[in-house]
Amino acid sequence: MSVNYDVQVPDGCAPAHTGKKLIVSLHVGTIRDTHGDLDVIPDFVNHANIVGIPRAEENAEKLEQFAAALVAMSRNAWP
Amino acid sequence: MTITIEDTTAANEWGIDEETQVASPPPAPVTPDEWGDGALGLKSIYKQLSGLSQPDPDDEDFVPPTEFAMVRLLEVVQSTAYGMMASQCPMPEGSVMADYSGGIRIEWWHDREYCVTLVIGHDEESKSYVFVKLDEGDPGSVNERVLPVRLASQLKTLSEM
Repeated sequence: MSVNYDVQVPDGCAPAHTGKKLIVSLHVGTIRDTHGDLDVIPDFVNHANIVGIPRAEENAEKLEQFAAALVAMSRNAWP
Repeated sequence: MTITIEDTTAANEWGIDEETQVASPPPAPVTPDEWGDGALGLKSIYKQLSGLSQPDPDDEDFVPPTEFAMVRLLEVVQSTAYGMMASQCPMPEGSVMADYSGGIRIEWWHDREYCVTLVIGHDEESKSYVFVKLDEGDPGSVNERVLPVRLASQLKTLSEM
């Protein structure tokens, strides 16, 4: 799952997407502490990936549990 | 004039009044407009689904849903919604999105804690399921048998939170 960090909100978040409707923030430590299977790995400047989320074909239940947990810990950043 | 009805099965299907022998056409399908306010959730889903058929210019990874996914999802959603509306419980508004594989997801949320998610895969071989997270402290569970009756009950529970 692709995320941006240390960027201006909203333009720095997913800059190629002009039709953004909502931006949320997540705390890296909370992600790592709450779910040991998940990690946040930077790969480019201001960009990282949340890794450890399985594909639906591999484990649909785990995928959806992680998705729901990420929603629960997120906070609205924009608008 | 007296009409003798031999095949009562056919007669019943067409609603023939046994006393007057007057045949009535079967009732027209119920449209969302006829359900009034109770159909707003279903109308919102229809509108979002129609938007998915167009490519997203901002998203190069977007994959429009397959015909299989659209048809199957409409079958499930319509059965679920009509069953709920017949019980005076309108289908709640959900968020419809493509799953980047040709399938479709609809998510219904209460706050950020409780949800019901319907996933329809892009073809018969791919996974379709319902994910439900309705209890505090429960991480949620998946059921790969997508049943409108069960989905209606789960959405009713979510709506009443």
